[in-house]
Amino acid sequence: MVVNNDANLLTKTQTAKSVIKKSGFSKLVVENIALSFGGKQVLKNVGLELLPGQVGLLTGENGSGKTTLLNVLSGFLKPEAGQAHLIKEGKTIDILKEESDGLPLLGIARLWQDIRLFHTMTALENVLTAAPSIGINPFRAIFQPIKVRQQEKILIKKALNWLDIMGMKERSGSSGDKLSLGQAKRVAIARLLQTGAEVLLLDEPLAGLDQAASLQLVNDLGILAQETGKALLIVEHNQHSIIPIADYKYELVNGVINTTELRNRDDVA
Amino acid sequence: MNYLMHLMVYFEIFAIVALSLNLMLGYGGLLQIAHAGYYGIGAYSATLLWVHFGFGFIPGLILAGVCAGFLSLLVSLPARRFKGDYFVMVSIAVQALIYAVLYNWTSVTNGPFGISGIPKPEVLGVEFSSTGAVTLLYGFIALIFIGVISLLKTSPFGRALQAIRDDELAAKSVGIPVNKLKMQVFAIASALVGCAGGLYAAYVSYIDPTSFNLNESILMLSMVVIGGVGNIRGPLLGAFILITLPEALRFVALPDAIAANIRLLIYGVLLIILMLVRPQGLAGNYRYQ
Repeated sequence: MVVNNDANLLTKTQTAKSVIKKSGFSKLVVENIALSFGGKQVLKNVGLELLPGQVGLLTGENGSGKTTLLNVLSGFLKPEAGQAHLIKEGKTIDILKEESDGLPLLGIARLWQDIRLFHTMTALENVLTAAPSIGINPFRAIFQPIKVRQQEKILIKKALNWLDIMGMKERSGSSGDKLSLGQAKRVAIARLLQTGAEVLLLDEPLAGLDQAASLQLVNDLGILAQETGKALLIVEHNQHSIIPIADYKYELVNGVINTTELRNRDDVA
Repeated sequence: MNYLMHLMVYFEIFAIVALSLNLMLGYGGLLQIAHAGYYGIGAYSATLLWVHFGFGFIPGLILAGVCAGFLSLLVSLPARRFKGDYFVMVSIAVQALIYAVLYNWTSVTNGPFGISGIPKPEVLGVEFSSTGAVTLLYGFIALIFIGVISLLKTSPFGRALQAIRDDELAAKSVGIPVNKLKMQVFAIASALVGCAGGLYAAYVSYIDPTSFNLNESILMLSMVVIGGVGNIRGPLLGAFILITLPEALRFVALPDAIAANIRLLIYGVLLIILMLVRPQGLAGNYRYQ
């Protein structure tokens, strides 16, 4: 019911079309990425693939280049060689050519290891910052305040929905700096979801969580991937926690990825 | 009474100045030190348009805002990646440049002698020549600007700026076009302060470069910081205090010989105490501590 209402309102404000985009991507392909820092080759020949609903576990020792690869895929670092494409709706997006602030709306968003919530905002406002909104244009904000407000209502509904899915709806009014670590991570993931991105890059989402919270979060991420068709690439030291939900294990060793397929993932755990 | 209304006009002008600076500082997190420069650009463009080109009061005022906003784009395009300390350095340079141009381009600005005989505000054929009338007119204009600024503040635009101020990297990672928004807020703030400059010129009817130097910029910054960043009432309170405080100190009976210095001393000590006791500003949001 709620979804239908949204769709009706959205057609009225047609400009918000991008908001209702269904998870339309078909493949993430990364090939031959190479990158070195000051002569040290961190990534030599890195490649991986992810399909909708799949979970990839990216693992490796400290300094093996996991976060570097995430920085490349989220546009914060440009590699020396290689390709990365997101194929969606028949179009191919060249990830390496895009700016970091353009990628989330094109389909790839990342979670920071240190979370980085906006600390002067509430959880709900944090999630709302991620929505592609017409009111981000100051002239529309001044001259079409009613239109902007209408769209805002829809975006708030959507944000509350994501917060609900991450189990944080009750804390939507809490200030970003008053949340516990685990709660902050969940809000940050809701914020990623609000961007509409189909591929989520999660940098150590379990770091600092206790056993119970880890289990719960892994479980929720698994359900999220299955039900929304989002693809997750999860960087994690503690690989045994992620393996139960992962389709692939990508292990970075000396700048090269060893891929292990975990088809019968439930058995592996 | 006239004296009080005179102060009121100054407060109305500086309310716009402080609020526009707050857009940059309190929302965009951009420490702007050239605000008086853009204020001066607005004052001089409006003056030239009125005196030499016969523009009406309102069209001249709007064009003055456009000029100041356009100039900010000229600054922000080459400095597209401006960040933190570098932006501060750039803005100090811009302030120095604008002052130098106003002071030395004598064929246009009349240099240190300034321009006099600026016509009084006139709207729809009504001339606002008395201080009381100007108080009303400027109060009305200031209210419009406050309305525009609150619309911006509560819009997704304002929220995105707040996100950039909190954490620029995180803002990028959720798809906020950081550089574009910084340019936009810079241009809007400059345009608003440019209009304020025009209002000032029309009220005092004489301008010279000293009203638009680095000291003025610092005074404007003090208004925002003392009042408190990140909301509307903070900068308003700051502007009110910094306009009335020096005036109030006039009435403290002091020996003539040292009066001026003592006033400066009291003023300085008050500022230091304030910053120690309430670092977030008098009416700043508690959350920003």
